[in-house]
Amino acid sequence: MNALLSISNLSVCYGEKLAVDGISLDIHAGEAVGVIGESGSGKSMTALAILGLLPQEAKMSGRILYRGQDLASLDENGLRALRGRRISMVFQDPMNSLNPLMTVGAQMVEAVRAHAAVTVPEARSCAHELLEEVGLPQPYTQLDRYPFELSGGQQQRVMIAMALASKPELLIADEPTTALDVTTQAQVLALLRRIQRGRGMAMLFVSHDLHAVNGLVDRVAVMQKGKVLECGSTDQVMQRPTHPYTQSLVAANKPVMAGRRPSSRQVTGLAIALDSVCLEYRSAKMGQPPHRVVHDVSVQLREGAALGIVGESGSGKSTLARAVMGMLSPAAGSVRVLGMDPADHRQRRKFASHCQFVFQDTTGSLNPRRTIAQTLAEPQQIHAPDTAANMARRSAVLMEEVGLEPALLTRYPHQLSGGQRQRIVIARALATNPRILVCDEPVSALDATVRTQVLALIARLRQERNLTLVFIGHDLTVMESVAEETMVLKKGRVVEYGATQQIFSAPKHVYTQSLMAFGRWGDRDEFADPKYGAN
Amino acid sequence: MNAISMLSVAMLRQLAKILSIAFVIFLLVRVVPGDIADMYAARGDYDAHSVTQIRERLGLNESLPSQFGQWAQHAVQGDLGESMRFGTPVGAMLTGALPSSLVLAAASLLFGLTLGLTLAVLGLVYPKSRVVSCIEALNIWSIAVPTFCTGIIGILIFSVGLKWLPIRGQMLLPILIVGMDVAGQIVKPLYIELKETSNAAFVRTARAKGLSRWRIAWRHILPNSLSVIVALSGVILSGLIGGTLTVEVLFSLPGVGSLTLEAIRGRDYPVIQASVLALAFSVVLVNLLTVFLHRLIDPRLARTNGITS
Amino acid sequence: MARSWFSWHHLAYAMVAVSLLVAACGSALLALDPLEQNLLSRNLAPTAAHWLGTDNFGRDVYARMIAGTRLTIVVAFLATVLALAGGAILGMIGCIVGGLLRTVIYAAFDIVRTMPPILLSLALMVALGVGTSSVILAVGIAYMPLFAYVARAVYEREMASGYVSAARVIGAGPWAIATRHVLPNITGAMLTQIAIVLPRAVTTESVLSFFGLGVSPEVPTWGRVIASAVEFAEQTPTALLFPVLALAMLTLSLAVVGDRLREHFDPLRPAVEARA
Repeated sequence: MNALLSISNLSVCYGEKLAVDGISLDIHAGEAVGVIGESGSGKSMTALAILGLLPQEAKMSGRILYRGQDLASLDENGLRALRGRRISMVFQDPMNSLNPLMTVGAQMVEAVRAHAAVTVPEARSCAHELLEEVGLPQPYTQLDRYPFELSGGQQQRVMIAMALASKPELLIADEPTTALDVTTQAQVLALLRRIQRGRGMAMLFVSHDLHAVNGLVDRVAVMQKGKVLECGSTDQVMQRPTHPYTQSLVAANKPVMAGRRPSSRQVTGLAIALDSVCLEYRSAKMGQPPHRVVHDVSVQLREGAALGIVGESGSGKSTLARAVMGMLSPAAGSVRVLGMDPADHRQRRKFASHCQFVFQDTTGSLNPRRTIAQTLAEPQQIHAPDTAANMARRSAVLMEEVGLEPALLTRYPHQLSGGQRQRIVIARALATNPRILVCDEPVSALDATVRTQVLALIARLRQERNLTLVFIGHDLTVMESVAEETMVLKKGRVVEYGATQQIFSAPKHVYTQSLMAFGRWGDRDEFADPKYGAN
Repeated sequence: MNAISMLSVAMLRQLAKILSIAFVIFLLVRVVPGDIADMYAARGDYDAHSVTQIRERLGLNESLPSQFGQWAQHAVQGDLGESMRFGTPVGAMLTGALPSSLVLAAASLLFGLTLGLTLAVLGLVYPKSRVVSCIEALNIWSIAVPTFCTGIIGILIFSVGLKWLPIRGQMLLPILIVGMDVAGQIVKPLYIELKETSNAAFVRTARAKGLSRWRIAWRHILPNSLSVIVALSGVILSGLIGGTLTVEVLFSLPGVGSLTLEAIRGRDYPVIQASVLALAFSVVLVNLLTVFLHRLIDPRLARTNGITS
Repeated sequence: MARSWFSWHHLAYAMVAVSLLVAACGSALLALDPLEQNLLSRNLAPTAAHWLGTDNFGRDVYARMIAGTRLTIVVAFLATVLALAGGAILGMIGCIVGGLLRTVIYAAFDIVRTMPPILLSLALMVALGVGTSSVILAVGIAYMPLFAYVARAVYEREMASGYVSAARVIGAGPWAIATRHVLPNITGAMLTQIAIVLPRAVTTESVLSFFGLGVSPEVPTWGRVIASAVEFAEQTPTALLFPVLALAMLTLSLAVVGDRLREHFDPLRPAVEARA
């Protein structure tokens, strides 16, 4: 059977790096093909290359045959005839992928009229039908709204609707759900599946998320460092992977087996006590009341114990962490850490020696103009000033403790990988010998394989130093191996709080259940579940 | 609390600023030893006794704050005093000089904006052509070379060399010169902004939809880049005022610029005060307008509720 | 920049170097007295005796231009330094101390900033009277806000950065944070601003001289030379043409050189360099 799209020996050179290294892939009519890979694997470049949307500095070679025509050799005019008409594309970040100054309706009408000679009213009714098809409620009102007025899930639906405007034969989706919340992700994936099957459209689905791909596509290709390592039916690649890389990828994405509990130490004093804490942010607009982000949260954490705080973006978990660290004062209620008030500036240094913070954004929290050695020296200069040689020695010891070579001390942050930077941030936090460590999504930005390593590191450090741990994340499965107690937050309120095992095996609240369901290694028909309605 | 209250606070702040500027100018002008009475004396028009009388009449003997208080009181009622040199009411002098300057400024602004915008968009759509070097050249020229230099070169070429235009009294050359100045100030930042915007995610979406290059440039890239012009409005205004001042003197046009300069040369306090203040006032006014304009251009700023991430 | 600029850069560097040289040598290069009026040799085109001709009063144009070079450059330079010192130092003190002091300082700068620099210098000159120091003071004050606002922008950007939050979490105090994380970045931005302000200072000074409000009327800075030649443009275009061209070329060269220096000193350079 002749393939609809046939990529042969495609190579893309971006800067000095070979992003895509001679790959070949076939997509047949009506077939959904997934491309999986971690960051840097070249999967997105492949997707962009098909429609000639690579950045200007990138150079492409190879053949991309679409119905016999070589797309790689087409000029801009030729490609334009196909874009949106025969082959459409949906991108990762819907908020930035829609023109912020044009209404949804205007952009959709534009998409419709790009390839069909219809009047504006006709285009509008066409747009209306498309919005209905993608499950957007009240389509007529949505047409006159601006993108920033819509939620992430709604924006992505609009993007999909625009892509379908001219009834394309192939839809390319480049990580369409990565920037969305967990619950929304499931809905959008269900939508994509429904549309693809319903229209008999071919689809190329690019992602790093194995769960998403699993339920959606018929065949999967696994990419790493620009090459396709393995390609076959989804069942075969996911359940019985042959290539060692695929195997490690699959293993890293499975939840930790039940029964492996984190150990908890002897009960001693109260490390962290939050009492009916409410947190607010001042509103950006003058005169508006402050925006309450956290409502009435109470926590009692003993020394040596570990608490996981789970929630989606906007749930207030990061804000809570900052309150514990004293970066924010509670609007109501009290925060006590080891008996101290973290927001008290006079006790700043003493507090810093007891309680430290591991930042989420490693690029932001490391000064790009200072070497690692200087960064690790800073806490020592403040808390335990010593001769330069002694401090350097301590830095080297810290590096080894987090599993890095001391030789990296002379490097700058941008010269290290994401995983290495995260270890440095942890090392810096440990430099003051704290008793409590608050970690704000330390592994969310890391690839799955690196993630397991850093989590193992945190668990080990906790054991060795007898730390009290507060671990913040949005992935419930991660909590299982890290914390004995977990708190689930939704929009600033505690939705569930108890032993992690308990929550895992029998979640009480509907919200927790939906979080769990998506994190699980579910079976493929999950997305056909009617409860994943439109958000 | 909403847009109206925000605006009122902003206006109050600006009002306070204008008042302080007025006071500072007032002080500055009088710090110079030797006031206009001395000038009269130096010119030998009056003897010592009459000079003292003049001083009293003009109120120059009283303390500075009280002089300022009197002036401010009158100013608010619209009475800006009388010119010390000519005795004519300052208000009338100003309003007489205003139309010429306004016409010049408005025409130059229009010309400059059109030229700048067109060049920038052309540079975007034809990146490999000469347009880009034109943009660079125009930008450097208008930033570096003083307007009077450009003006004189213009005079030398068109009036002395080619003899197409007279030196004095015509507005065409002044408008071209100040307009080019304005264009030069905005064209490069706008061009850079256009290029930046063309790397944005939504431009990629527009390309993926199969839209033409022109449509993408005019409908998607340009509107999202206009905010840079609003941000530059301070610089534009500054250049406009300075440029208008200069060309009015060069080409002997009867505008606020010539008025101010003559007053400065002649130590005519009320006129200096009033005209400098008028200029400051217009700057403040334009700043307020640009805040409005910014909200108009970007609906995100106008709405009070948006989805917070 | 495109390769077509290659030769322009060299021309610019040459121009600036020559100007600096002339300024340094000063009167050693003069064969004729720039102030001497010789009514017999009025309005001459360039000759062997007068290399660039004479103006309406018989003064040698070349001599006047040479004499003015030093003053123009020195005044502009000193004014820029004054603006830097006043703006950056006051601004930083205001930022670090914060509170009322900061509000007052920046309110003052706001007032100064509202007026276009040329207008402001004019007004200040009225108060200060003619003279070299007055010009330096006037132009310097007019450009102070630029430095102050850039200093504040850098300060606030650094304060909002993740690594400053991290430093606070580590327990560092405000002065330690300022010295370790903020100050190293200010220098880059300041150098950038110097490159921007210096050509403008030259421009402002020449405009002031042109309007008769520059340094004392006897000494011929380029603005004065041009001003005195403008009235007689039709009779002696050369006396007007040469100074005007020279001024345009000098300011252009300064701007181009400044642009190059700015690219060199761009504070983001280390990160950008290594990322490639």
